[in-house]
Amino acid sequence: MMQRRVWVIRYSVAVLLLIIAQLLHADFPGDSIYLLQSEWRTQDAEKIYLSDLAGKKLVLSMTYTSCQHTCPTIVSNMQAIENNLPETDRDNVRFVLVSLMPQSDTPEVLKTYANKRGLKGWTLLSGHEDDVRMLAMVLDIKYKAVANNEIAHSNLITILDDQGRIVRQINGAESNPSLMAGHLLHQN
Amino acid sequence: MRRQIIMVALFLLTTCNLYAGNLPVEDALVSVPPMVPPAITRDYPARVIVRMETVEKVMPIADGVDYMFWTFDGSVPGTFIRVREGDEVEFHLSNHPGSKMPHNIDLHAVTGPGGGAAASFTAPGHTSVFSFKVLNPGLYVYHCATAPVGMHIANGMYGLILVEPKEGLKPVDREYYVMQGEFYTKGKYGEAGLQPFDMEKAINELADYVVFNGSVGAIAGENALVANVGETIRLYVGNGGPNLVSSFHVIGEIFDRVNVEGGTLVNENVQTTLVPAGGSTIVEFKVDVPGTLIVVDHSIFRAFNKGALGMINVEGAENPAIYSGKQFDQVYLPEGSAIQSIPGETQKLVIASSLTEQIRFGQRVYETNCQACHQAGGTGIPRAFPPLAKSDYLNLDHQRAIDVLLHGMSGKVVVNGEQYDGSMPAIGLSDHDIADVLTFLLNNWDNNGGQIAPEQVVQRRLEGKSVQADSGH
Amino acid sequence: MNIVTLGLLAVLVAGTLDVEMAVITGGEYRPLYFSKNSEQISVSSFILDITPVSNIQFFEFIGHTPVWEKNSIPTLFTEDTYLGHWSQHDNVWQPEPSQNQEAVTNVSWFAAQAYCEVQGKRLPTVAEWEFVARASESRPDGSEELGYNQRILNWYARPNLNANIGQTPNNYWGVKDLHGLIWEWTEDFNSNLISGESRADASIDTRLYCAAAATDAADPSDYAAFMRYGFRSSLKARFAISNLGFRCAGSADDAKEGVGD
Repeated sequence: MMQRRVWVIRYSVAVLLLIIAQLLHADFPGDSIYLLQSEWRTQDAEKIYLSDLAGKKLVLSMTYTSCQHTCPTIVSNMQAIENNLPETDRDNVRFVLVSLMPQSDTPEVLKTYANKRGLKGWTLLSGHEDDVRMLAMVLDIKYKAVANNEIAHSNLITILDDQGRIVRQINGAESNPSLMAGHLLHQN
Repeated sequence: MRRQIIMVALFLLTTCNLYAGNLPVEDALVSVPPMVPPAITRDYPARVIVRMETVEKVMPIADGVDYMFWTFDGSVPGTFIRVREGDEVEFHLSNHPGSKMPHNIDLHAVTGPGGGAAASFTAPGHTSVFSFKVLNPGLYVYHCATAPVGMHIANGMYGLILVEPKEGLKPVDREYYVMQGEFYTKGKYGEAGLQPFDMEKAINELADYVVFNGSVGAIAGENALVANVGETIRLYVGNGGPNLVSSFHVIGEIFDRVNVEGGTLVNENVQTTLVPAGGSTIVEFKVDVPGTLIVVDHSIFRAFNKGALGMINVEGAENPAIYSGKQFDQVYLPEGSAIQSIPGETQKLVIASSLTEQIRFGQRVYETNCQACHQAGGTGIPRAFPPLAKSDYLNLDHQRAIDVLLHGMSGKVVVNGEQYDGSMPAIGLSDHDIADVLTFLLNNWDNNGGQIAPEQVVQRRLEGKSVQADSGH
Repeated sequence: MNIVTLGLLAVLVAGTLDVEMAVITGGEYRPLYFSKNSEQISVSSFILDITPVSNIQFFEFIGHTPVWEKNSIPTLFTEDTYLGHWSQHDNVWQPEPSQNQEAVTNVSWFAAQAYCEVQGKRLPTVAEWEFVARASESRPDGSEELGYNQRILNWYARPNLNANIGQTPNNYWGVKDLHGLIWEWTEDFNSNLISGESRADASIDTRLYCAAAATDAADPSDYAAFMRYGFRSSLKARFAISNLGFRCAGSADDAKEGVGD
């Protein structure tokens, strides 16, 4: 019988790190994704906290740049939403792509992708794998590494308000961009 | 231009909501089996709200036998839902917090992927809401479709939804809700205690129980359906399966009208109609004479050995012009279920330890193996099956009674002054069962009392004497 | 650190948390949601709590990190049912003494994850959990044993009962309670790309998921595992469910820091 046991005894160093919390953003609502204090890098290699995105509405998807299946459609649909927004409202909305494959989607790769797809003014994020999972969890996004270095994942586009609360989620493969734009403009 | 697109989109959105808002909203008509909600009286479509809860709970599947059922609304089958063609249904499916499994619902009345299954997939302690429009009239099965779907159905997760045609259904005097389903248990039919689901038997389609409305006797005896002479009865019949197709038949009646497979096609003057697993039928018949109509799956071993037997008690005046008075169809010579027992089963035997317990266990053996012929109350059937109540034949010679059960008998026999000329098969009961059932008989129905020990049965089995018919009478 | 920090100062954990763990030697296995001839999954060596986390252990954890108290936890991370089986005494939610040694349930994935992380551990992955859960009492792959699956399935045929942790026999690895007590959270439970609609799950639904269509062909012969996958796919990370708890895992390297064998 193969039974080996250990007693793992740990001083809670992690707790210290965890608990030196930043009071900076404590005033977000209880259902705001900005309660996640994770750190990310943008396509310009800039370090930001998730909560730095607060203040504008968000149109957000989790994809990866080498994805050949539905991701290109999701990005196109997000662009269509952008194009359906009146010029005057565009400043109030941020378009965000979060990479499900942060190891290979470095800031440089993200930058190239943004240029190639013409994603002007968008925010593309790469982060620690654990933070990617945590964000996926709050957005109810399922994903899984599969063969051929691909990741299968939910086709969701999420719309969040300026406080980081989920307003609506739609199937990114079948979205109706004008309706989505309507949601963006007329939610509270 | 862009602004216009948005305006149009918003307009569409608004009109959509307004449209929904225009329909009057009401709670759906629902009922607990075997009852059926009243006919729909409105002649316009509505938005009807259905609230249903999935519950996992232990209930009796037969006398002394419990089973962990998975249910819609706590009953098997689940709540009967009655809506009208063209209605919009807003379905709220809640999964009880105590559930171990997620559940969902696939309504065959839904036009759309999975019949709503993916949209209604719900973890314990949560509620899902989805909507659909009922486009086609008919009687439709609903069931849980969560993986593994066979197990969810096998545990009782099914029911019926009736979509009345716009013009309504012809009024009848009585409507009932009957749904067949089969169960696969670790122990064989009648084995006492909480019986777990047996996946192996389910895959091999070897059902232990085939029942109407979730348990043996759910619509028989005290729970029988009722009607009066001269009334027309409509049965909404479903079959949850998971595996077996039902040969639905009512002994002593001919279906005047059958909505074949629950659809629009009407067949007339039908004796037995097929109900597919995951399918339904609507049957109508006028009852002309009093008596007990027996509802069966005419795959007949299921009726007499596995529980697929229900009753409709019809009361009123005799009509000898239509029927002279005999009651039971003798062709079905039922045999005890125990005959199918497999030697070497490792199930734990529950053994009676007192006279009271012997009587109680014996009653179960009687109901399972003997009652189909000798009747509840041991009255027997004149000229077919001799009585066991106040039976001189039984009381006179206990040893002979043991022999009859061990070896069966055939030929003429006189009981309480009446002559019977039939045959009784060897039932294949265990020594304990024989001792218990005889003890039960001796202590009931005005018999003279007494107790048979299993050892006596063992002794007689070893001696191997068969019984001579009509000995001493 | 990726820990969920909520902007609240909490107390430093002064003491130590020690829990008995089993060493699991890595290996390969073929999980349920792959067809029979697909590649095997390899699991590296790791360590796993012998038993699920108990109510009293979770209560102690909250004492150190009050952010996870029932009254303070933000709705992003759980729902109203969180720790709903505890009672409130003197404004503090706590287990009844009789519940102390029962497995904690009604906890969200976020809470479970934080609990493990505070101890320098993590939740086991689905692959790890399934790898250990397929062991019987005498061998690493119990599925070859007669009656093994039926014993697991029997849990579904019984009413819920509250039992203390650690009462089932050790499996091959010396781990208890994987079957027959509660469901358990896994780190990547959200990697189940099935709809829970069993007829549709023979292949992945490309309307809902971005993937090559043939990614996950199900082989539903292992019904017990089939039901666990079905259950996981119904979950969201903030759900708190009355029969869902968790245990923690760790890296095999940590075994060297420990004592005992």
